[in-house]
Amino acid sequence: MLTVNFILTRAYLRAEINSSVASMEAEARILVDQMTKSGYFQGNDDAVNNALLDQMAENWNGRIRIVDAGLRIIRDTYSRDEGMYLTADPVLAALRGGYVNHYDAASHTLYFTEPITSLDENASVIGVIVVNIDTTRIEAPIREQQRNAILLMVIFLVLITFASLILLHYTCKPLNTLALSINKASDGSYRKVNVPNYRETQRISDAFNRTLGRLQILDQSRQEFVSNVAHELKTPITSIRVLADSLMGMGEAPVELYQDFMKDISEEIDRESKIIDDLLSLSRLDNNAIPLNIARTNVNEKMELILKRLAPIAKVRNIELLFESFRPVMADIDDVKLTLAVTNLVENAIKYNKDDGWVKVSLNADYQFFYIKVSDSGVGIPEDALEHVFERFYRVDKARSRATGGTGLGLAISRGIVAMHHGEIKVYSKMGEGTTFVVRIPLHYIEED
Amino acid sequence: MRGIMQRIHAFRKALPFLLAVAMLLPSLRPAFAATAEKEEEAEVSRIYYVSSDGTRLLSCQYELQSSGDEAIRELFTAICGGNFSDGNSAVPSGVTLNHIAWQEDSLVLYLEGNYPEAGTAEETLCRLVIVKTLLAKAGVESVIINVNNEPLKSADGSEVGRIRESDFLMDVATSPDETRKVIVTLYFANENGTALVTEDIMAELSMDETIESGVMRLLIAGPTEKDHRATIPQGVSLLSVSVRNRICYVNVSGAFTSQDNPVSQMLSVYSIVNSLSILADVDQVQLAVDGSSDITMQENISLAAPLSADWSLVEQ
Repeated sequence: MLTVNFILTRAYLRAEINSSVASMEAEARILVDQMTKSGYFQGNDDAVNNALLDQMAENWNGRIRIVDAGLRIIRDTYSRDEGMYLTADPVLAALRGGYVNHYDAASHTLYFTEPITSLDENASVIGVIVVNIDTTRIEAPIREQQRNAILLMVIFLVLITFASLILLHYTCKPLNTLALSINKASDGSYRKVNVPNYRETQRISDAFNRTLGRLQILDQSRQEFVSNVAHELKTPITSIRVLADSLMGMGEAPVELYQDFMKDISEEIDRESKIIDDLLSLSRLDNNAIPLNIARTNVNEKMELILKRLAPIAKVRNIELLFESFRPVMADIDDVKLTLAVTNLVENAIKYNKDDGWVKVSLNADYQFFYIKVSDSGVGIPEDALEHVFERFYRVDKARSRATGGTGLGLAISRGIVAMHHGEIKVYSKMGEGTTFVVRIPLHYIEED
Repeated sequence: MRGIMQRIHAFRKALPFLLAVAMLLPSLRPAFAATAEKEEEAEVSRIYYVSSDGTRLLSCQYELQSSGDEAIRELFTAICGGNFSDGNSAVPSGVTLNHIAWQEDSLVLYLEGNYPEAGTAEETLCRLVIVKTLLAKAGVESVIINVNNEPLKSADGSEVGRIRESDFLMDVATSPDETRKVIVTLYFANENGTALVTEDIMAELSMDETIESGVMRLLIAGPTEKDHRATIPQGVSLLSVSVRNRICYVNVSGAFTSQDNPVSQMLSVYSIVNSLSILADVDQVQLAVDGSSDITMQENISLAAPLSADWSLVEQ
């Protein structure tokens, strides 16, 4: 901006000088014509014309010298150079009809030369008028203008700086509030954050609140899980305690009674052991501590094995086990883990079934995935419980599962194993009619996440 | 084979040394040349001429072959009808130098031929190049020219006489120390401080000083005549002065209203107003003290409005 100011000032100054020179030249020409007419250059230099010259020079804040055709100074308003010869180049040029003007900003001076022509038809050059001017007065208004402009610019600059600092401060205030709120929330108070001042801060607030919500849920479920685990582990211990107390309280008892009680205690210990094993598996699954042992496997064979192993259990309540295979399926799987996952599903299907019911396992595949469907004619799962069945220790009917001896971790483990294979597990159910679990797993295992 | 390779290697090794010697050789030459030149002693002079379009005075170097009076002739010949690549000689070719003489501190030239007409630029330039070219060699103050056995005359018939280099101004620009003399009338106080008296002074003003500022400067400086008294208190300085629409605006420093005034404030004010009012482009004077005109001096003189001269205060 300052550069523009300087350039403009220079331009204004030049323009001002030029216009001053033009008007002075015009005035000079008038006077000189008058002087020529009155015979000034024929040796008739009268006092009136000289006085007019002096006045003009004074008005212009300058000096006028008149030079004749022989370059001799015949009049000098400073009365110093009369009689000398002004042989400078600008005068030589003027004698040939050229106009010269020269402005020296540094010394604040300006000079111009103009030819004086005779009034007859020859219009020959009979002399030259040489004018020196001090330009301080011409420059003054422009210099002042420049000073004012610079002052204005400086003031403007200062004001703008202040204004933008203030603006910045107020703009950033909500951001600071946001930062403070987030800090407070992350300290553990779970207080929702709300800074609606800007769309951006609102969005950040909302995103943060969602994260906070998820954290809260996570926290909650963690707490629930811990208390669940404690409860589950405690239950068999309590039973053992009761049995042992009764035994000890009985004093003299028949050996058969001891044997019975010991059998019960043994069962409880088994249950406890199973719970602990399942927990360990789950925990290891969660931490990705168990590596996946992928090998190309004949899935059909594995499915048949599972059904064969579970047949005795199904027979107890006369539940029919069916296996349906639409094609031979070869896939990259960890056969031990997948067997466990499917076993859990089939076990559940048998457990939560009617007497004389059925369990159907079907295996199908397309070019990308293979599908294992486990359907049963069991009691079904209520709609509101469907999304929770895969949660750890979740049981729809607590009493029922205790009696049938589950740990509540089976589906969680199955889901974990399916996830490790980068597959998906879904559940469909209708109360009173039955439940179907569908497992979908990629045929080819890709290492990436 | 081996012999050649060895020779090439040797040459390669010697190359830098050879180059160094080759570069040093020329610098040895001046030592030889200097001694040779001393015998020749060609002097360089400057000769003047005019540009082709006649608008500029030019010069170039010229090597003199002769010395003494012969050199003068030689120089004259050089500037007279000589061949210049970018100009013409200022001395017409028909002019010849008959003989030269020495007179006190002047070189007298006896010229013959078609010397330019008096009063023309041609004649002035001819004189100029003669003076500038010859005086440096001649070692004198001035040149006297005779043409066709007659002393050189100006257009009005008078003899030109001694021509000095200082007769010619080569620069249009006016230096700052060149002043102009203007006679101004200043109003100071009389001995008793009862009335104003005049002093006509030859003011020397530089180009950047207006006549108004010159008048103020001299008023502040004080009177020159013995029984006149200053009207402006000590320590007053002029802050600004300008003329607009025939009113002269004068701004002085605060010391103007001080009580330490040799005369009455009435005389102080009107010495300024009267001195400025007699100038051609001033009718009235608007005074200000430290920028403010909202002041009333003693004897109820208000500075608010422009003041006109009061001739009644002047001693008759």
